Amino acid sequence: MTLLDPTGPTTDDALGSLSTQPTAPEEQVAPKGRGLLGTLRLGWRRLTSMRTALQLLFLLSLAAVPGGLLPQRGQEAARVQAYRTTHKTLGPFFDRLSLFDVFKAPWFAAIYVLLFVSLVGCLAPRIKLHAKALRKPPPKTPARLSRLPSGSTTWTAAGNPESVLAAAKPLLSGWRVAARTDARGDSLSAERGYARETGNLLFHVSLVLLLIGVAIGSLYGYEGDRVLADGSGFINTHLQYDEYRPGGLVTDGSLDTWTIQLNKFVATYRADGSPADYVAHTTFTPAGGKQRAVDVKVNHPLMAGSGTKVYLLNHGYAPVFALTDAAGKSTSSPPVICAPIESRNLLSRCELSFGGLPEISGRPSDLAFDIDFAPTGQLTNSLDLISTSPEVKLPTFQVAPYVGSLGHPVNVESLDYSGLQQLPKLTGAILPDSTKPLVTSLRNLPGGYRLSVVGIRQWASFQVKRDPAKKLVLLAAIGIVSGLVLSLRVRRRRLWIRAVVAPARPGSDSPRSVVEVGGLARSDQEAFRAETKTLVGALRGATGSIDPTDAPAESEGTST
Amino acid sequence: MIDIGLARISNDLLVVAVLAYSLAMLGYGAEFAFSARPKKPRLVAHAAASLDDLVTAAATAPAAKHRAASSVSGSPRGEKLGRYAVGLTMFGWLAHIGCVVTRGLAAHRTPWGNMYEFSIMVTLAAVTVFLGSLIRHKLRYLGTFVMLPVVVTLGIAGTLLYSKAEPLQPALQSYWLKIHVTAAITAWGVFMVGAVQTVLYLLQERRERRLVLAEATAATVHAAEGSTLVLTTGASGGRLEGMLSRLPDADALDAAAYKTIAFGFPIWTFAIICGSIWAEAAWGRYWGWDPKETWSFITWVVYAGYLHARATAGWRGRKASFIAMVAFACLTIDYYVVNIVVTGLHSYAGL
Repeated sequence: MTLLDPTGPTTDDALGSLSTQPTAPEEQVAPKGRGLLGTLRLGWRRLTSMRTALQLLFLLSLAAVPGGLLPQRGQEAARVQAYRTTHKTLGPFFDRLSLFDVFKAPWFAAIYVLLFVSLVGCLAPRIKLHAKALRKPPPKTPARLSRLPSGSTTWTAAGNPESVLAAAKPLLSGWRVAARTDARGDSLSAERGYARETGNLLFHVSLVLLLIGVAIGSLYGYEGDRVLADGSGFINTHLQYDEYRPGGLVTDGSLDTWTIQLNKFVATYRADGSPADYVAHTTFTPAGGKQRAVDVKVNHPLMAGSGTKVYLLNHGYAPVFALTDAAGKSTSSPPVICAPIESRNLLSRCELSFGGLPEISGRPSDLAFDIDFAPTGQLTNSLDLISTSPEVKLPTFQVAPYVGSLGHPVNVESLDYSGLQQLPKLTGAILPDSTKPLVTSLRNLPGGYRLSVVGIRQWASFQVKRDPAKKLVLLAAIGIVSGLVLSLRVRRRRLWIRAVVAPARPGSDSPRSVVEVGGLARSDQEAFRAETKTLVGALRGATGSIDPTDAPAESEGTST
Repeated sequence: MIDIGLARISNDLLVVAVLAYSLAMLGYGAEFAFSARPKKPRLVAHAAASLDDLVTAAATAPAAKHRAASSVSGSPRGEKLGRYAVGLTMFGWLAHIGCVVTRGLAAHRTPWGNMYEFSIMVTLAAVTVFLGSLIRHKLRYLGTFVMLPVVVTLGIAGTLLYSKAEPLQPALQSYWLKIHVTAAITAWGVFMVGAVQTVLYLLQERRERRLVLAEATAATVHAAEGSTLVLTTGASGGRLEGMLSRLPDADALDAAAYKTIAFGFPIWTFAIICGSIWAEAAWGRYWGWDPKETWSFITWVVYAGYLHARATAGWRGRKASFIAMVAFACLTIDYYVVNIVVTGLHSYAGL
């Protein structure tokens, strides 16, 4: 049914986007053009159809499933490695399919890129359509209101059509109203709820903005990790990071050269050993600015200016050792960063080496130590070291000394044991607040050296992050939520009221009109029926006496 | 210091709530059993002009019985039982609230820091949504079906997931906890109710389809005799016939399910966004494809698929409802599997 032709099925065009039926499949209408152009047009139509959007959404969620079940290299590289070693055939197979790197995989990107292209292709015409609809008045009154899906209500009212419609106007406050006169009589067209489509468009446009923000952030932002022991600091340059992950378009010289120095990391624990709070007391010096003291905590990063933030990540212990030679000369090591191998009670492991020591009998005699440290140590029956508390109550070291040639280690972090020979392992505890040397046997290291613990400091790891598009992403997120709420809650309605002169009642001169009210609802049919009933009741009351013989007749409408 | 006394009271109140909900569940079921079936509509076809007319008449028969009230037409006994059931639900709800409050007071913090507490909060949200909807809409028929997952979830929480009242770890000490977790829990509860409605819709829709088929078959048989015949909407013969015939029709259930899910979806979106804002403040990145983040994303995308399906020709109705069930399955995985099986930055939200 078109507006002017009452016969035939309701098409999308006539009643426009107000149809309560889902959009007809575009595939049924072949676009013009043959050959390549026609194929492209058809392809574009298909890509921007709801059906394709549905399929792509499912594909996207399906593609993300392995990312949620298998360990991902971006967060847990160690677990990926462990998975590969335990699953000797599946592991490398999954790896080749990028299942350990799902969200960086090209096939994942292809899905969401296609989805966004489909989205943008669908959005553009819809924005144009909505912009037009916002400027146009509500559509013309259909010829046969009774043929609307929810039917219409008819009754005879007192008064001529002008007065009836004039009485209707105040009832339609909040609606956009247009008065028209056509071949069938005077009528009012009313429409409201444009915000529904506005919200819908806002939501989808915000999704696109979100993607743009994510892209900008990853191209122009950077991330860096650095471990600092109490008393040490670093400058924000790419050279001073333990791990530096710049965005694709970040140049090395573009970082703000601020400095941060860790004065002291403090962890407070409760009686049962669970952590209460972590604080890193630092001194921060902005590039060319004044120093200031800043506390960095887990939920409170340091604002380093221009959108860069410094986060507190992990912590551990960093004992300081000293090697004393037979003559009594001591060499101190820097604080040795010990990595926790057990997270609750911070049993940690570290390596220490002293190179350049004089040879003994012509053989290289550098010393290296493989150290296990427990803040509150205890030996098991099998003489393994365990820690029973994360606080330093009984610092215990288990040291495996090595002597030989240090060789050329592959990286700074681990020793090359190929040229070293292990000496018997030793365990020693240090009483708190003392720097007593470890058990005496460690005195008799080759060359007459003695290893002792000078102090126990802590280290904290920091992650520096800059994301220039964060505000855009936040804005997009706000747009997403507000657009969503509008598009789901606002009710779009169209209403038509037609008043036609009716023959006067015999024996009376007062004018009468036949009034017909009908409407269309995009959503919430039940509520719309109730709304219309209320409106009809109000209009009948406003148009003078309600004659019980003039009860409104309701037509069933054409809804299935 | 943890207040042991209050913690014990919290546990006791949980038991009270579970008992009350279980009894309420029985009450709703009894109301069902005692309620009268809606009158069967009858179609009268005179000297069947053609077989097609009969089949068309049979096909449109279900439409004729619609506009039914969405409440069960009650016998007085059933009505009383129903009201007792609602009363029991409210009593259980108050006990449930008491359980949450005493737990929070015992641990000196808002009580949603581990799976036990989450389960309690989510079920509270579901019951609140159910009770709230009872004010405006006649949805008492939902009672049995909502109480069932609530009781099951609380049962699992109390037995398998129970943990003693404890303070929060430093990472969780942020006001964002309240906002993000409240939103997630609320959305979870709303989706739980939506899933119940979707299941009921699928069952009812299947039953109605079978009815139409049965009538068309009956019409074929009777048409051969060429006489005035009366078609009655007979039983579809399924096992759930008794229960389903007392429920609102499929379209009403579908509309109700859609309303519920459309209410929950913005809340879920807000929960994810809040989580991102908190993640940015705590960990330095608003999105890291942590397993919980990934599964929340998957759930969101599938629910978005459901909303899209409802606006796509041919996908409304049954297909869209299947999508809604898949989405709820993803939500369940997001909650149980991710916390227990998969580990990530969110793992302290687990056991």
